[in-house]
Amino acid sequence: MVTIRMYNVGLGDCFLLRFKAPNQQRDRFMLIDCGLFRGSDAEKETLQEVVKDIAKTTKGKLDVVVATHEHQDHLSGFWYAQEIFKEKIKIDKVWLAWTERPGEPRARQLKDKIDEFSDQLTDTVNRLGIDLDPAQVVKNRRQFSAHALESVGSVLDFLGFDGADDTSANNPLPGNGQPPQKRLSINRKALNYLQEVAVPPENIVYHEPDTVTTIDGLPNIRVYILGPPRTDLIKKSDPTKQNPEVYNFAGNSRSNYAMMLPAWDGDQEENQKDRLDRMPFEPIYFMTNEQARQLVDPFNDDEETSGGKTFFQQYYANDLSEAGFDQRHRRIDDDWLFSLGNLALQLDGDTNNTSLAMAIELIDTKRILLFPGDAQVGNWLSWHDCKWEHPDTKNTTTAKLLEQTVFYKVGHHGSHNATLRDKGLELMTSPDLVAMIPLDEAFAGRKKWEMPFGTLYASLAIKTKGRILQADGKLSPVAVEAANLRTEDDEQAYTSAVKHSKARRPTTNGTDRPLWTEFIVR
Amino acid sequence: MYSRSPQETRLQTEHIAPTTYPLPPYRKLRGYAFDPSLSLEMDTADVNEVVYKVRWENELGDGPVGEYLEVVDYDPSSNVFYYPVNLNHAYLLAQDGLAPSESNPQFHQQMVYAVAMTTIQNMERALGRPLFWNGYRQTGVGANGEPIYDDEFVQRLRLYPHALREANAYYSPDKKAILFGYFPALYDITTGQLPGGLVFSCLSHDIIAHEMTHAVLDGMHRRFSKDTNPDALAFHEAFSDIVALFQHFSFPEVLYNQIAKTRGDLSAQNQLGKLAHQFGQASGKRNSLRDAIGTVDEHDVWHPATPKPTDYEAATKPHARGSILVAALFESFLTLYKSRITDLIRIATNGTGKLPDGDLHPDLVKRLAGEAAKTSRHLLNMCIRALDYCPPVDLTFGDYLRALITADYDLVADDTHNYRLAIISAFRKRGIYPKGLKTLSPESLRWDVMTRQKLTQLMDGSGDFNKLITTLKSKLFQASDITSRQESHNFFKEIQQELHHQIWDFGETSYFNDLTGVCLVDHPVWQGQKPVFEVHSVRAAQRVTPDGETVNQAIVVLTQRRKVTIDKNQDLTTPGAPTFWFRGGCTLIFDLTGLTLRYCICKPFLDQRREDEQRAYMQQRADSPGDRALYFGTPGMAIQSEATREPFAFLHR
Repeated sequence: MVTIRMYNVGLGDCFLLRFKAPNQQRDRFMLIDCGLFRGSDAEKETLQEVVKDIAKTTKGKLDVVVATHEHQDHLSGFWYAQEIFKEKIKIDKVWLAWTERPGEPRARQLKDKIDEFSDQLTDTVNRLGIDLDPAQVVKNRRQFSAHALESVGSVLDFLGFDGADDTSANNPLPGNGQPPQKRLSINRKALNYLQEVAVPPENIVYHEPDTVTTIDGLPNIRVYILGPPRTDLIKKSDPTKQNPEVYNFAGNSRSNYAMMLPAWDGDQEENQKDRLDRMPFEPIYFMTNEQARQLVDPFNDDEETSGGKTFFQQYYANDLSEAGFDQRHRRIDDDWLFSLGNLALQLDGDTNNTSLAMAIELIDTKRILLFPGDAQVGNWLSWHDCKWEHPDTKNTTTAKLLEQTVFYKVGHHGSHNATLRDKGLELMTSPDLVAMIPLDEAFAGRKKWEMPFGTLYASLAIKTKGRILQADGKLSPVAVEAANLRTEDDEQAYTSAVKHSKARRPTTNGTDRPLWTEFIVR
Repeated sequence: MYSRSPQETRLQTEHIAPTTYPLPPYRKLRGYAFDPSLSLEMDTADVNEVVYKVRWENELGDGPVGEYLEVVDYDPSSNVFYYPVNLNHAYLLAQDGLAPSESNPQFHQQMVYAVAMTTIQNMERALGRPLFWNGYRQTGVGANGEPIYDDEFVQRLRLYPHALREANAYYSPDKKAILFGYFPALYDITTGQLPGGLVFSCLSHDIIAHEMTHAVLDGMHRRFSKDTNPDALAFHEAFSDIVALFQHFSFPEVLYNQIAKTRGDLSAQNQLGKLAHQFGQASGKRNSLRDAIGTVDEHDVWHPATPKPTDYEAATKPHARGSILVAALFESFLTLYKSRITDLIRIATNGTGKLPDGDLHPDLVKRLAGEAAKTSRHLLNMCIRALDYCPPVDLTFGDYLRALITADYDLVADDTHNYRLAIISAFRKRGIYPKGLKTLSPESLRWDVMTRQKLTQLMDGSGDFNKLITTLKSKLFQASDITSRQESHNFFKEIQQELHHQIWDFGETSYFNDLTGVCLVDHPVWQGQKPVFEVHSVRAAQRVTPDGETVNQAIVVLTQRRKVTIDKNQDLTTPGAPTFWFRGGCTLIFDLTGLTLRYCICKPFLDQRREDEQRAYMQQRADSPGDRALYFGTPGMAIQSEATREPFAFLHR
């Protein structure tokens, strides 16, 4: 018997699994992720409260901690509540995807790209004067529109850099006389902690696809590792049916970051070369902002021929048309920011694809719990190539696993690209299917993200007969309607399997929610 | 005027031209026929560098900044400004501008200017009138509470050659500008691009022509950028591609080269039928960004595409759907070209029709090229002229087909070369049919010519309509005094206001409403909103037929809008119900010589079926956002999202 407890933190994953161990007194506990999206209300407090509850529930021992991938909405608890972890919880084993193994060449290739790119992207955004903490007032150095800044900032939040918490000592911004140092994101810090806490080092397991693993003391539980894939599918983050011949800008194809990212006139001399490397043309062709603005045209200071105005004053900085119409909006000061957002999106998808995806099997009842992390299209597709060579499992196929799935942790808070349709959800045909969505819709709405995605939610509702447990307690009309599909037995079984905590926590929309919601699979 | 160095300043001696010098008809500017990548391939290198002949602008300033365009080269992501090129510099005048170069931003400025002006010239030639950009619009409330719309003249479209670091280029209706991006080519050696080398979208003839066409189209039909049916944005894309494609045929050297290479068979793989070669390769495709006649498979082998009657139904995304229209028109071109050269081939082969192996005789190539150029010119003109015969809102491909046929009927009574048939058959092969037609003959596709009976009814029904035509004619008569585009804009704006007053004051409107499909009276569909309409535009068109006759037409466009809820079971009183603007309107084409209404092409405002279809479309679109929509808001959202502000940027990303 397994009890799946979803902590209703908001937009973030935190799942505690409690396994009944046969013939033993102590239950076994597995924690899958512990995080909350940046900028959520009472971020730290919520996570600390959750971790305290975990400590109490598990009596201070976690047998396995799984960190699916390097995103803040999955990891921040291991940083914000680290003290509580250290003090109250003993962590036995840590499970990570092979992509996190230090020194793993293929992983490094991928991760280095992502790291380097996200460093540059964050650095760029920093230099633009975007404060990475949205709660803070945006320092609008170049007067970008708030909308442009916000959309870029939101995506960067996935990367998990903490503006407010980091002291300037370990987070020097450029311009204070020191060369910029490599900063550690919250995610990195959380992972570092997990990699240190599991001793001896053999207790950190880097999982590979095509393998089956077990948990100590639980002979009746088998865990199939589905992803992340070793193949190029790891780079495929979006469905591209209409354009299959287009490869994404992922992995090795995205290498000339320098030219994708803006060049800055650095304050320091040593940046000059760097800057020129990032310029598309030789210096003889350009003038700086100041030269263009301050009437300094080095070759022409004759007021008569220039009409007292430089070319760019006349044709770019002319915020009023001749007829007096406001035409400031014709400038292009911040349009390129939207392409930064595009890059950030690709980055986001790439990291999601490194998710450790697992199918946990209850051997006695042949039931499967599916935890895909935030796997996107390529990761899902690769599962179907998996083979598990052990005699007990060699006939198992992913299609079979999906068919036996009775519990699905919905990927990426219900977004459109993290649940595969035809070779994923459509194959989950069990009449007992139940889904949990770790989502606070009001918060996602504030970010203008469509979570859960309408058509995905609708098919989930039918597949589960309305048995969708969403962290904010919301049940959409389609799901309510789909509840009519349940038989009396269904109804009874479902009602007895779901439990909510007495302890409650406040949510974004002003109401409060149980701290956790449980579902029991026998 | 700027000079670049003291040395150069000395060289610029006072140049007061004696008045006996004739004005040059055009300015010659060197540029790429396609894009820089084809200069690196042996068989196209020789012809890829061409000389654009651009209409001479006397007042052309640095930038270049002329009558229609201003090239402003600010690169915000590099945070620098590039020196504007001075095309009037004696050195540049003497050598047809700067030589093509990827590393000189001033050449980039020259290239965008040259191609953009070429596109403008082609459009103006076909339309028979000067072009206008979509103006600044303001809405306000007048002294008596009536709504006031102001439309301010935008003289120049702004071109930003290095606006973005991104594999994208787009026309921004809001900024009245085109933003071109540049980006590093993919690290993929199979594409033949320098890995990581920079690709500039502003050096691609096809991209410039494509974006320019968006801008021109938006200036003529500003409601075409509203995504009201699956064809709407697809048409914008398709039309822009068509203009870019047919412009390829206006370079004689290129045409000669490609015809020699394909031995006269333009339906074989060739550069003329492809768009944005470098852009496509550098962003990871095996082929050009778009190819009107074929595809490249995973083994890099090119195959001609075969049209299927299900093509149109199956494609839903704007670019995919648009490409079907492009393919249809390109096929019409091929059919016509083939039929026009059969006699030449017969002569060259002594009647066997079988060309001998090896190269064709240069004279034959020249003659074939001449036919190809002529055919493409005719077709391009047809395509552009058809814009005047389109309904002002909610355009479908079927409507456009009818507009094409009608426009051609009006100008060429006798279709000796079967242009119309070729077009209809190419559309039919791809399953593009106009709705509600019984047959597919050219006559039935033509918009209904106003019958005498209907006209009499209208005239008798209300004297107001007669007055309207008289006003129109007497006003348009004064058009010959206009000397500048600015004046012309204001002149037509005045007529628009005058017509608006007149129609507003119509006593009896029922006949007018029946005919035009507008609704000037209080009607339940308004759901309590005040009935409004706008005179969307008034244009005059003067064209000369192949027979030497002059056709004088006035085009008056009326549009209306009302708010409706996306969910049919809700209405405007439902709090928070998502809504959209439902638009109707009509294009009235008057024959000024005979002083009669000739066509009334309308999208009825009260059409319940159209309203329901649009509603379903809005709903379905809201259900399927792309990745960006997920993070940056969907177009349907009430907030002013990026998608609503920059419809084309969104489309291209």
